[in-house]
Amino acid sequence: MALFLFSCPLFANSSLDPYWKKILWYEGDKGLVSEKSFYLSPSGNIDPKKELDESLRRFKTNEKFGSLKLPANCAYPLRWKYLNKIEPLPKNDSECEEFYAWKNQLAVKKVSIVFAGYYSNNPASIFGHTFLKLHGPQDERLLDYGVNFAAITEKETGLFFGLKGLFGYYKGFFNIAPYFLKVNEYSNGEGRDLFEYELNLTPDEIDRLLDAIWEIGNNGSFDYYFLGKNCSYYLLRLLDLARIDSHLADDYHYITIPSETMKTIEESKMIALVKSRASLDREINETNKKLGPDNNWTKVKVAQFKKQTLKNWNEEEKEELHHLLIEQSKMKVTEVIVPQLKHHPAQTHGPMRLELGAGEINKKFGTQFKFKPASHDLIDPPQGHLPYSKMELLSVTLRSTKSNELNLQNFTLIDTSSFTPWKYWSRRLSWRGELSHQQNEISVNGRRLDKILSGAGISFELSEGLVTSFLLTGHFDFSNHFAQGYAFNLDPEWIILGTYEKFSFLQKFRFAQRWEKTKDQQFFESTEEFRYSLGDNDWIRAELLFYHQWDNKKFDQAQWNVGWVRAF
Amino acid sequence: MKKILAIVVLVTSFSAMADSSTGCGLGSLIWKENTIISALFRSTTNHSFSSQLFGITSGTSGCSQHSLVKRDMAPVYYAEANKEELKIDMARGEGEYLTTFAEALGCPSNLKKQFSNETQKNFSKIFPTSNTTPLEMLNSVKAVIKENSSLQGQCTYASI
Repeated sequence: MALFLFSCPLFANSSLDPYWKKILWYEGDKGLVSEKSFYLSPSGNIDPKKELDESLRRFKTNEKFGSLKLPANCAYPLRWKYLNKIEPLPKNDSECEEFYAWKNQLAVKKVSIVFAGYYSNNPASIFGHTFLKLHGPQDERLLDYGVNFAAITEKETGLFFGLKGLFGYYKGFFNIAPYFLKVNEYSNGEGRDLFEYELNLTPDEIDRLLDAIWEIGNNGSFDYYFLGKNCSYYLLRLLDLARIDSHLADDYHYITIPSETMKTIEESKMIALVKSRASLDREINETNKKLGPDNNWTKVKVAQFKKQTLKNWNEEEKEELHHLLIEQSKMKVTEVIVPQLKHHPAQTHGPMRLELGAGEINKKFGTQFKFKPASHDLIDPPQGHLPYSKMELLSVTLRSTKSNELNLQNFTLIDTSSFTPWKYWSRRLSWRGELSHQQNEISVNGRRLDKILSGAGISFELSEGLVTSFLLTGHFDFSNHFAQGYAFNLDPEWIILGTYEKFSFLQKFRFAQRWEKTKDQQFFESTEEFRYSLGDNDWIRAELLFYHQWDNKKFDQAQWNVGWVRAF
Repeated sequence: MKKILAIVVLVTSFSAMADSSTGCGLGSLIWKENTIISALFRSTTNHSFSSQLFGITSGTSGCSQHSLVKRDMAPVYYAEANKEELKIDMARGEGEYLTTFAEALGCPSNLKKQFSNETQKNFSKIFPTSNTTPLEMLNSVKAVIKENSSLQGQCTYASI
């Protein structure tokens, strides 16, 4: 016990102190800040001791720091306060008006984390986005300020945008803006639900948080990696600075999924869900259900939606909305519609999957092991997720039969679908895409098949949780079964999907038309999938596939697999 | 070079004229992109016109300082950013954007209901056409406040 008490002071307030390394934004042995000037010593980003010594030395002078040319105690308030405990340092408040004015105007009483959920028809957004909200003393929450970590990108799109984001070519900065701008952007502009969770930070912790935001906001930027060092990672880092013994970011080295960080924070007991703001999408759904499409207010909401989402909002529509609003202004409100959000992101199942199963493929019995690092499937538990969607990245299936040892059965780079129901006001198309490698593929007589697929169509919601979709997919299949090595396919697909908390089922009919150079092939597949939950993160999954070739019955076959799935 | 300078001056003076006398305004638009690939990253990268760098006071110097809106400019800034939402709330006679507007104008909380009712009553005065600008709207709202016996003089930042 005495030994422990002795060793603590050795750590605290020294370059070995983990808190000092947090102040320097270290991960392991290296500082993450890409702005060289953030570190006062040339090797400050790899040597915390040198950085401590150099900071102490320079903070004792009259030097001005950072982009705003401020004295140390307000250019680096967090660092200065820490070092001031080691050795008393000169404090220059007369030139610090800007900093104090900023803090005083914010007058932060509470801090919340806001989670922006998925947006419609976009399964890639299921992992969400997080940012901080600083509560001021005023009544209305829209006047709060949001603190966000974001990449500054030019108006790049598509592949370059994706690659740059993946490999850290964009710079990420902290920025602050009125919360109403964020609500407009996410809730109205993008159709995303917002969830506000209040943090239980003490006044001291809030003060440290503000110091950290000012310090890094003015002096630093980071390489932005969309998969790992992203908005949610840096938000955790800020919280780890606010609360001295907090290490929320430690679990996130390579992949940081925003919805998962919400669970981490929840586990640390820092947090409580306070308010959810339904997206405009959801609001219209509710309004349409309760008031009907002919109600003036429904028409107003639909017009608002069109304005936010359509690229060409014309004069006629503008006038129409104006007249609808004049009408509305003469009416007294009888019912205020507030859509209830039943689930929030911390309730979603974990994104990783391990599945152990067995079944028959090509008339051979075998066992299968599946690993999916980031997955939400159509039949997975839907709570908190974008309905009727699938997003699967980098999944691997290994198979072992009596004759073969463990072999790669399937590798899927990406498999994504979105069966957003058609609504008269949003008219979204359904779609799906796939890039996969399959062994023992049934339509090529058990050989390997590589597929590049995309498809589009339309879906209709039959009742809550039940949707039916009609798609046309086009894909290139590559296999040495084909004389030329590849074939082109055009397949109509009809899907019926029922997703509920406890179980889900999928029925798919596929009418395949395949063309090779010299011949074509037509076949039919009927797929059934079923999931039954045993717990929050455990379920049983069963799949059945019937294959029928129109011209030759001898290839007809049934395949099946039953497995137990664990979600992490 | 002179030509470029002239254009720059012209453009900046136009934008100054479009705003209040202290040259406050938002200017930029939300960058919207919703293709499949971009969305994969967009969900976390988040481009927005709120991405002002920290300590750097942007060109809208009369309006904000270190990205915080100056209190007396709050009604202008708020009106500009939320004109559409305000229009809808005002037509309805209730809503969060509307009560927040009341607070931005400095109206006490016990007068928020009155503010909502009055603005709804005077909707066609406040938004006479579909092209009413945020500033015109703001000035009309200030006039409505002035003309109402319960509201006049109660909203600190609503003086004309």
